[in-house]
Amino acid sequence: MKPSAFEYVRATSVADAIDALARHEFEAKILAGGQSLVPLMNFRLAAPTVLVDTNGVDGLSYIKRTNGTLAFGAMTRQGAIEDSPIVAESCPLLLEATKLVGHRTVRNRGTIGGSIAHADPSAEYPAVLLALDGDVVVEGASGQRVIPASELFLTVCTTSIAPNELLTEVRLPVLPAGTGSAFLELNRRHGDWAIVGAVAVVTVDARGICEEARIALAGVDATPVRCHAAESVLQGEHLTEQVLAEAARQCAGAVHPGDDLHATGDYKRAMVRVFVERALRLARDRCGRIENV
Amino acid sequence: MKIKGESEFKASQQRVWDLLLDPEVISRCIPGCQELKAVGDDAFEARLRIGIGAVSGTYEGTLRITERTPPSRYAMVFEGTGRGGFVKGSGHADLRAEQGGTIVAYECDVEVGGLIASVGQRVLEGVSGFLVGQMFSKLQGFAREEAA
Amino acid sequence: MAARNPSIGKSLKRKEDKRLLVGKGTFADDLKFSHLSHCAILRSPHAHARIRSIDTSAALAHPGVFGVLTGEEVGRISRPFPTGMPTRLPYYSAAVEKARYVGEPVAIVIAENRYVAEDACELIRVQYDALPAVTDPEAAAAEGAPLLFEELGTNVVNHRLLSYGDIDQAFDEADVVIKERFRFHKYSSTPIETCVAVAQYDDATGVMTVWSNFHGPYSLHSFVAKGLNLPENRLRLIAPPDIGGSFGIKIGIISYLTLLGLAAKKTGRTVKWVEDRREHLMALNSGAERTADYEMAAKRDGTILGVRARYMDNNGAYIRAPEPANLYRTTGNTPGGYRIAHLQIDANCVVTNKSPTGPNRGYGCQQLYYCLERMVDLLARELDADPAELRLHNLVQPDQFPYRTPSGGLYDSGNYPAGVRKALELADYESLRRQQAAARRDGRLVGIGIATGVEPCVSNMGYLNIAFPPEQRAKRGFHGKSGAGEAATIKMDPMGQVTAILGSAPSGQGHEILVAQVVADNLGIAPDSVTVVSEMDTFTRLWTISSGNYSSRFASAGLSAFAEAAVKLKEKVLRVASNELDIPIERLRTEDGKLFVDDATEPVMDFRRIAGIAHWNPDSLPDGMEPGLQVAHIFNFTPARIIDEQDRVNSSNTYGFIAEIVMVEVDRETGEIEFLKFVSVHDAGVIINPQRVEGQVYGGLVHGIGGAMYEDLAYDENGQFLAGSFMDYLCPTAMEIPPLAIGHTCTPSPFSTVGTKGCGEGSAMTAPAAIANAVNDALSTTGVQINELPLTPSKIWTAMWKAGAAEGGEAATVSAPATSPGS
Repeated sequence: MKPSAFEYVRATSVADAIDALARHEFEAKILAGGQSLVPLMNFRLAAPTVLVDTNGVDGLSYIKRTNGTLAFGAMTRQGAIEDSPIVAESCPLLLEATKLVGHRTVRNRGTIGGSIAHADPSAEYPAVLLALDGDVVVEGASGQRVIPASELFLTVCTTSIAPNELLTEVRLPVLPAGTGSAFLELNRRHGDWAIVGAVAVVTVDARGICEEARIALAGVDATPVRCHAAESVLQGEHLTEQVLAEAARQCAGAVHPGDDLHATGDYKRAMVRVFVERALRLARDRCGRIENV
Repeated sequence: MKIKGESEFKASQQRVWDLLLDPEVISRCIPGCQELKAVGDDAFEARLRIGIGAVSGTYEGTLRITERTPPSRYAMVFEGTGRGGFVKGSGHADLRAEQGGTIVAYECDVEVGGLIASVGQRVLEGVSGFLVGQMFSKLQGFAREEAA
Repeated sequence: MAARNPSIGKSLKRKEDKRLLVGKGTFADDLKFSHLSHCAILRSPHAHARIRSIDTSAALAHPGVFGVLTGEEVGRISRPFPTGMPTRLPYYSAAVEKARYVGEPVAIVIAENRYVAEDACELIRVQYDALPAVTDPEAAAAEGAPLLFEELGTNVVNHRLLSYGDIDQAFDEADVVIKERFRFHKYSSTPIETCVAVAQYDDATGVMTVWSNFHGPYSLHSFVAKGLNLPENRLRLIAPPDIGGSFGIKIGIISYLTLLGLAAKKTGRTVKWVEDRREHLMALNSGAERTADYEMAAKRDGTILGVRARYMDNNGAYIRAPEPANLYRTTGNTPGGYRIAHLQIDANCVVTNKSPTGPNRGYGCQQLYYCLERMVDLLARELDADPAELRLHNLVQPDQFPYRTPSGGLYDSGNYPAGVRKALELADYESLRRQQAAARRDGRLVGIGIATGVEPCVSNMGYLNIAFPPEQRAKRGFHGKSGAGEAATIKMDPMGQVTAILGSAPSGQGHEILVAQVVADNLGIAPDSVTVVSEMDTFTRLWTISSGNYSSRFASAGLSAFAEAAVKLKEKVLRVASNELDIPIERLRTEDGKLFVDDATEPVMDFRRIAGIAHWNPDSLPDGMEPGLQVAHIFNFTPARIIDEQDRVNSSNTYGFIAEIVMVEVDRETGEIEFLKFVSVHDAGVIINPQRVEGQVYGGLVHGIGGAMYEDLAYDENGQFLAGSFMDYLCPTAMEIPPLAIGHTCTPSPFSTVGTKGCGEGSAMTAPAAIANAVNDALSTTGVQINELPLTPSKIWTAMWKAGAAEGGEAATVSAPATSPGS
């Protein structure tokens, strides 16, 4: 379990990294936290000829809140997000998701940018990004561009980030008052990839009517999935048990996960219903708590 | 693993049949196909470079058409090997005319062996579906071009 | 004579702790060699294939490659491994002509480092002709199945029908007969340290030396020698002081010791190979998968009369010693803790296209007790009896020990009802049943499971002969086997300090502190002062054919050897002192390294003085006494007798007891299992060091939970291996383990010198049964029963859904349209 030979480039700036990518294009890979890439290289499933290490790049690790947006430098460690008071206050959903990413030792190395760029369909951060309609900022030789989450994930571990581009920032909107959220996951063991992950975010007005709902799923398709049809079931409604159940049913009906070693497709689909319903209930109940504060 | 699905073409059944069995067209539609050459009647050798995210590998293999019933059905067997192990299988495609277009219903039984089977279980189905999807969408592109 | 201030029974800290905790242990990978070459093994991606050709030219041309050894060459230069059964199989350390499982070595590359060796593996071109594979033991045994060894004409390579008592009579007399089929799956142990081996061949002396974390059984030394085609006195096996766990699994390293030896001989280099995790999961030993058909005959009052069972063991592609022992190691304890007079076992050893099997913590007992204890629960349901009461009714009674089972087991000591009662008490069983009834009224799926098991320790070599039928055993020249020995060496140096030297290699259990405690108490010194040496070297150490770290044998066989050696040494010390002081031996006693007369509180002499005389001045020793103070002693269990004509054999030597009670709740919506209670009571005989025992109990239990719910070496129907990393082979972590309530009972073994029994396998044998009983009890209100492992949420939910009992199932009934990614 030793990787194939590769050239190692330790970038010290974003420009440095982009330059290395431009020179090697398809043969180069970015090393961020290395929690997925390094095992793949050791298995020789990945054999990049050049590894561009961005751990030495200054200024890619930060958490900032400005004008209703939370911005994260791509190299911000998951552990730092877990410990961040800004995240706890402005995006409790991200905190909840972070605690489900592997174990603390993984989160000490793993980065938000790496997790999103790797785009594992079972991973937590891509589902959060999609649910919140976040954006990622990428930079390449031809400049900077912003990719909305809805256009980012193409298939298993594949994004619309070009091979010569570097993800530099992740942006999440700060949700309005009256919003409750939940990230629930079914997995075999604590810290495992989600068999089914359910993200629910609901914003309720003073009368208890749902103004906005967001539902995203992890683990049930080649990319994280947004469930717009189910969201529209909730919008404008009182979030009664029946309404939540109907939305959850819609979600289950919208996905067709396949069998794998740990669960059958039928089971996963049924669990989408169970976990979306549970997540929605939790999100709804958390709106209440926020209002009371 | 079973890969099955349907793909809709805006072209006549005969045209779609010709497209699907044209090595030149197919070689341009198979994702990562670097070479596809005929090595006899209905037998081909291919070299593919497949990349999904960080995972990539070169596969070399053969494909043989085992049944041909123009313009409605053909069947094939294939096998390939590469760094990640081997892939082998058999499949068939049924073509039928529908509403001025053609529907291709395909079904493959694929056996994946070695490294990818032992560590890539969780994503295998998603990746296969994606690759087949890519191929058909390119073929549909060809059909559209020709129709235009 | 008992020590005045005994250390036995105290939780002294391990002698090993400090070096392990500060990273100064010496594991096989830490051993330093000059001019080392490194190996990588090319393995078959096919479950079953003929190897048409292997082209190594590109690999050999790769810079840094020193050589490639192919399976074809292995077939020419080595001999097949012996098999402990009448049928011979061509099993070599690499695939010859055919590959029979995914992961079977096809070639080994020797290179300047592991990176280059792995690069070169990719350059080897192997042409395979794939053959149909078979993975299920039942399917493999069926007519027309693909044959692994065409020349044998069958995949059932060993079969014995073992009958004890009169099974037909039992079923004739029965009021109730129950039948069930069980499937016990294939899983392993995954120690933190994988296999490591370094081989070196000296062509001047013809000696092959192999350093590795092989810890025995040393009976397999001859197995490696045979494979290498070497006389046994030309094969030297060395183990370092520290081995990072095994649980039996590392016994499978024996085929690699041979392969590395061949590579060393071929290249003339010192060659090293470190197994990676994927290799470990796909090709080292695992426990055997078993499909079992059971029938149980009982009276209406609950008395179990007889058990008839058919075992179909899936032993993988080859029979790797000590297999097919999974079938036979449990012979003596076939009835578990119960008085069952009539037994019949139809034992079948089947080869399939999966990896070979071997001992896995509990060896044969997890399969045995899973089935037997499920049957007892099914009988309780059938009779509408309380499962605890039914067990108490059938257990061997305290006044029956030593108890002879119909299959030949000699249970040394025990109080089984006391063990079960203690578990009931710790669990507050009555209250659990009340809680269960209340939960059921609320529609919750709460269940209670009980399992008991007799824990066989220190295998008797005699059981290996069961694979041969009596008529074959009766033939002249047949090698009958018996015995269960262990060696101990103790030296007192000229300054009176004591060194105890093991005859086996521990794998993390803490043997050093146990030896120190036993030697200290028996000699009259402080445990701290004893130096314990735990490396192993077959050239220089004292060992017996049954020596080794396996079968939970150290606490009884190993410590008995040390206790007796210490007593011998003490006798010598006393004789020297008596001679020197002219005081009769009977009036002398030892304590803290000093000699005392009668009840005096002031010593008359210390060990240093005695040792000085014994080493430096033999002239003053009593007549005929050897100079120096050292004892080399071999202990052998006398109940380790040869098998009799009726296939009865006392397959082990000490027998512990386990009683477990588990309460679970199954989530109706998700099929997930939550533990509400976990009680485990053990009888390990005399406990030398309670902390060591507790560690073993936890370890066995966690492994049992792993087997019941998580760990699964899964294959697809083509024989492709699917669980090649810890992402897919799920070992429970601390997060998955519930709080455990552990209790002990103690019935000292009359056969081991210090009254100890083993406890290293423990709940790995019984927890799968207890959990399965609890889950099935929880599911009983839904009409669902699951008689296979592991109990995954997906499996439980699917069973409930099919029975119409799962909520959330309606979503899955929405028919899935065919995926059409291109449209």
